[in-house]
Amino acid sequence: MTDCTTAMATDFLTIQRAIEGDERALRALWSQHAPHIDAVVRRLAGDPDLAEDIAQEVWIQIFRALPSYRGESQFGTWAHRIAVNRTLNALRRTRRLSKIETDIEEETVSVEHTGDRAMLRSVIDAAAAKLSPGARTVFLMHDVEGYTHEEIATELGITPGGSKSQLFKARAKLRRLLAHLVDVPGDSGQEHAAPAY
Amino acid sequence: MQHLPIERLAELADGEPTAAELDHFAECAMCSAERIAYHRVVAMAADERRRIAPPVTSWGSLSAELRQQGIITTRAEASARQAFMAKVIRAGWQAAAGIAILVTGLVSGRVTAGMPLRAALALGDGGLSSGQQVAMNAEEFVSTASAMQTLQRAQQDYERAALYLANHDTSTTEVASESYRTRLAALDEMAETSLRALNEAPADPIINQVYFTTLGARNMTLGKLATALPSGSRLSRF
Repeated sequence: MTDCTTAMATDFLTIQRAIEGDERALRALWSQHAPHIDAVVRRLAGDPDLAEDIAQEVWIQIFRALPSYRGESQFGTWAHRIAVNRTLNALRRTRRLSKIETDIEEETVSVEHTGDRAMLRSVIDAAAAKLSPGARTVFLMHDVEGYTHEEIATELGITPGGSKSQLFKARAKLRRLLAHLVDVPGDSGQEHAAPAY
Repeated sequence: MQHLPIERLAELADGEPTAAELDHFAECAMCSAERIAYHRVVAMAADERRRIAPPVTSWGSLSAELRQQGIITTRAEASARQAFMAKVIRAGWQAAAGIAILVTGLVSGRVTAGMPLRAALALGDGGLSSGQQVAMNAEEFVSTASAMQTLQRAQQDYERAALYLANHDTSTTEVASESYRTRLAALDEMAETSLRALNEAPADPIINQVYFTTLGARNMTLGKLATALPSGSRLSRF
């Protein structure tokens, strides 16, 4: 039996107990997968406080949906899909309610380099926070979470072409923001400086 | 020299360049360096997926919410639910075993009566259709207890009917011994098949039921065959 098969079998037994409402089994699933699932939520949400609320919602949804888990993919992959889907739904709700506020913040937000929260954020995470919400979401879903343009289009209600366009704009802006990390020595990058999207 | 557009360079971070673009990269150090920079951006993004951090959820607040929503149940509730599920599953197995035995009986009976196996199986399917009809009307049961009572009644009816048929066997004719041999051959084949299945799934209740029922029917047929033989003959083959 391979490690992967063993892991799936172990997950399966834990899931059976979790469906029955066994707290230890539910906690075991949470402990094992929270570092990844919560990271997905935090990345997509951007804001740590918002991420905390959404992550709790995501976990409740994962546990509610447990009886529908068929074991066709690994539990982590299945839960990851739910996390992305629920986070996007929550963000749609939140942004609809505070759209104006979000637009203003997009113009004035700066990358945090100090403080406890910044410690938890990677450079790319902080740079992505400077993108427009659409470009940021597409970039995170494609380049970080590994979704295809077709899947992104379905999730976000846009066309695959629109997803590609947003992604390339996001990459161009990130390339400029992260110039100090990605520039090849001797290349000033001036002639290719990305326009401010 | 005309440089590649920024958006095309961004696309080439994980895309395939054309032959003309490859030629351009070979000649243009600026575009080549840009391409590497975009590769690095995409690589950093991929690394981000593997990055983990302390969860933003805490088990304390999550478990309180799960308990409130009834997702976490107490040990007593969980064991009561387990016992209920076990009862339902057991009833399901019994129903399935009953249907399997009924179909086995129907098929072997038809084969014994001289019907070709294919035709007998077709009739067996007909029997199943009515079984499916019963299952489709499952909503008429108001509780597990009433469904189990019906199931027990059906099992008793089946046993009584089988006993009646055994005592009033209409296939007892001049060629009865041949019919019994045909039945034995069919039962032997079924016993062999179910034994093979039993080796693969020794704990399967349905296969166990089918195997032992087949053996019982085989012994009964052997007894019948012995009494159907002409006086003075001994059973040496079947």
